[in-house]
Amino acid sequence: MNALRSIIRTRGLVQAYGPKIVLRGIDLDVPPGASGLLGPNGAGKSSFLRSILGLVPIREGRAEVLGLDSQRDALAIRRRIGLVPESDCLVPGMNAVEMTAYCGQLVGMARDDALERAHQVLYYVGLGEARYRDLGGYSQGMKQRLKLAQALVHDPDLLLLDEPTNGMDPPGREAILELIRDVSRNKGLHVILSTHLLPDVEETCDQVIVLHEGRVAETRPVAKSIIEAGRVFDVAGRGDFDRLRQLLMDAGHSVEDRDDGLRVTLNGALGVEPILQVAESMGEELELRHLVEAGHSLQDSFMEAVR
Amino acid sequence: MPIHDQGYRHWDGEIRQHPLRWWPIAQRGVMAVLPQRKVILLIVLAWLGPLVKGVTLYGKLRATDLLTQVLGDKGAEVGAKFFWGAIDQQGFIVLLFVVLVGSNLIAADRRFKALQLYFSKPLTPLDYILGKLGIVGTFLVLTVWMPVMLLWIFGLMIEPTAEFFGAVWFVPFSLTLYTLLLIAVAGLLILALSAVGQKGVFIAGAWIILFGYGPFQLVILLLRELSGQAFWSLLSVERDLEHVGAWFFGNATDPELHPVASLAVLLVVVAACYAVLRRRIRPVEVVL
Repeated sequence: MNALRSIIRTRGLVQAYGPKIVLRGIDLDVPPGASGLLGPNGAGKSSFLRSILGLVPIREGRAEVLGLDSQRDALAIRRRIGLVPESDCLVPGMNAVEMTAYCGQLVGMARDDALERAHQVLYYVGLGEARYRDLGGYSQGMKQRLKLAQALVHDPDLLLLDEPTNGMDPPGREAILELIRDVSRNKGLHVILSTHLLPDVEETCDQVIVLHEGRVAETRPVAKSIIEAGRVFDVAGRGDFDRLRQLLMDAGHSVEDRDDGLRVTLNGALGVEPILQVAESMGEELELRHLVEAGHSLQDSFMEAVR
Repeated sequence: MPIHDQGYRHWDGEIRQHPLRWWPIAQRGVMAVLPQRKVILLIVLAWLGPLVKGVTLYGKLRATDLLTQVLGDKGAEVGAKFFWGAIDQQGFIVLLFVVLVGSNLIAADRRFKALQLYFSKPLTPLDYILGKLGIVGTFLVLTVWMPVMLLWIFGLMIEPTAEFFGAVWFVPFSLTLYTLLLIAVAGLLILALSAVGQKGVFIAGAWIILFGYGPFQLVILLLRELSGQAFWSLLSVERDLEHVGAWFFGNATDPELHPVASLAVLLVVVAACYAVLRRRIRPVEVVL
């Protein structure tokens, strides 16, 4: 499995519910590691997850997950995947140990193995002390942890998380993100995090896929967004912009012409200070009217992609 | 001091799904229901009738000479009518069991949104339905098939003669056939209602009406009497089952209705319930 270049590969994926088309020809190669699936409501994130799990028939195109065809090998795929659904869901009449072990049995674990593993993962997600408690008394954060435990019980290769921090308080959210980071970066599980919360993606993912109106609007490494944040600025105004360009380039920064001015990518430094210093050195030759960070943070990329 | 690693550990065990993927659902469901006190009480009650029948059987078979003189053929006496009577008397227990065990099986999963957990595992909707049907089926086997089967074995033990065996050899086959039909009809009907309804009490009420018990049965009989048309009886699932069951055991049936008509109605009920279940049990609920 580690040899796979893409954990998910789709070609011309079209998904529809009756006449309503929700995915419009998605071509995607999701690399190993942790990827964030970003998009506003109705962008097609959940439909994408359902398609790759083989829960709904694909209308056109094809999808492969871990090298398996999502329609033909749906059950084999679900044996290797752990899903953390978005909404609260419990198996009634069970405590956390029973529910987690039961989920392991449904995947194909022997009863004793599932029980032993249930204790392990419940401790891992922080429910060790509460594992025999009535689920009715569980807080939102505990329910999310339980959903994570039932997804991890059979040690999946790929973990799908649908809005895992929804409705959680900041400490609870941070704890869940830490668990996701840990399984992804330290334990080698591939992760797909579907969310509308950009910080969650920034904190846990290597790659971001932006979906908008059933299409892939953008894919990019998260690191690139973080690196570019605070380094790219748009400059506009009146005066000798040729000389400004030259001075900035002499200082080692990259400059590109735009219709209304220049886009400057700073070399190493962060913040507007290096540009201001050059502008001040030009005195009366330059009148700066516009100096803003250009849209290269993840937030800006997302907004541009869905605009 | 021992140090216990509570970090994430990979699991290197084997994942080998049961060939019957629905088996863990049925197994877990039975284990959850079985320890309930009311269920244990019902099981005890369900075995009282066959126990009395066993005593009767012993009396009949041991009073060989008398029965032979009075009835001529004792094998026929303890054959069809006797064993069908043992099943027929379980009717009310079956009603209670199916309602108690089945009414919440799917309704609760829908209330707690458990279906998305089930279908994130390697299961199909058919696996899920079979698993739930297996729970109802287990209790019907416990209360109908098993006691009557033991009664049959008991009869053979105290009367190990070719004559007796010749008169009752078909009982295991008829019993198994009838139990399977009962599980399919009663089980799928309660599951379909459980998939449609939300509250157990309403599901139970609807099941009793649709199954054709109580006042509903009286209305049907009244309609049959007043109109002089036997087909009204077909509207009661419970009467259809009784009609077909008696036919399986070679007993005299309703002379005005052919058992195949009742069987056809039961098969339509099974098909309709399955269609309802397939419509309601979906991996994904889509609201357009």
